[in-house]
Amino acid sequence: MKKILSICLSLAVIFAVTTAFNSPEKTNGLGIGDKASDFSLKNVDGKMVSLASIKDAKGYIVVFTCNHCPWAVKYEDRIIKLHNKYAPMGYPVVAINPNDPEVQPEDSFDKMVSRAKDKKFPFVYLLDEGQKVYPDYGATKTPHVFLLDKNLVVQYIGAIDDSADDASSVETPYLENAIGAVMKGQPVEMAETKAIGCSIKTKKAKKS
Amino acid sequence: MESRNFDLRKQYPFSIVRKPMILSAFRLSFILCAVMTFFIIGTSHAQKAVEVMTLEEFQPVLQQDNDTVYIVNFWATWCKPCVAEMPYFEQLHAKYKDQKVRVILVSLDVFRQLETKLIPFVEKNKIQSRVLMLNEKDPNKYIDKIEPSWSGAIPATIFYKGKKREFVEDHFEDLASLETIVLQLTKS
Repeated sequence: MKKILSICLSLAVIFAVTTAFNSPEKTNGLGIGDKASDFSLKNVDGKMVSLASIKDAKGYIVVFTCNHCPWAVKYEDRIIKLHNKYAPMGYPVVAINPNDPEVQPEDSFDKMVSRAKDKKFPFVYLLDEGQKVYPDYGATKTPHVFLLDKNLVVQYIGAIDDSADDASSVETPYLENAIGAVMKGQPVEMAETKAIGCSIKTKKAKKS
Repeated sequence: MESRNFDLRKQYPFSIVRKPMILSAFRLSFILCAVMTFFIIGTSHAQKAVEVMTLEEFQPVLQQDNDTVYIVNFWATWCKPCVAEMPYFEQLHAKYKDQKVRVILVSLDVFRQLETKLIPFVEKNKIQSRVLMLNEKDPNKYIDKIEPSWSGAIPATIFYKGKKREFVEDHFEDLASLETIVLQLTKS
């Protein structure tokens, strides 16, 4: 009887400890194979956009990016090229600015509108008003890419390529490789990569 | 003849009249030495301002197994919150420099901007903490090796003493919050 009791007790302890240690990780957004949730955010043209509202999409290149971050700016031209190349094949870029404009005024909706106009963004550029979408996805920085398939299942998370500073010296175009694999219905070889980026600007993250 | 020369030398003790060739060569070598000394001091000064390292060279910096608390901050000149929090790291360095506390500022600026951006920034702001530049092109190849839980957003800071380690992927807004972590590690 004592034995059974002690086994039960130790099992309970193990269970409690593992759940306690596992739970914080679970809340950190999407992983590969998870289903992303759709959203409805305001585009720079003033219209509300959801993933479902984008017609003929076979997938989505969701890029968390912004105006102010020099590292995101370095990728602007490459994001435009990606959209121009892959949108006709059914994989449009959906750019989302996750920053709180009150913390980073450069990322206000008006500034987004003028940036999109200046650079002639061919893709939608949405403001994550209220900052609800980025934590849901688990974006932590700009730029930060989530490649979704038609069913909004995450196929790739991470960097655009391996050379932020200089587009001409890219050796591995991580994102394009992933898109290529998804288009062929193959598993993505490097489904997760990491890159340096600007932290997402939020009032909550500020230390007291 | 001789007495005339002698007179001249008396008049000009370091005159080049008597042995013009040898003395000018001596002078030349002296000037050369001086120039070289200045050059060496100059370059070592530049080297001291920023140490450039590959990931392999940098990794031992994160694994110094002694009783010193190391504060390793990842930043870049282009990162505004990094630049904003730098004074607190400098204050930490100044306050604890006589104790077993060492601040290391690791710049993730690109190598081609070492001379044009990073060194001028360090000199203009008179940064007193140790400054390193991690000279690696692809962050995907080094982020996990530095800290697996790091997403790649900067600023980010590792605090460690021996095997004890704290990682903060956020910015600091005062010296006190840095000190809290340092003191925890000091006591442990």
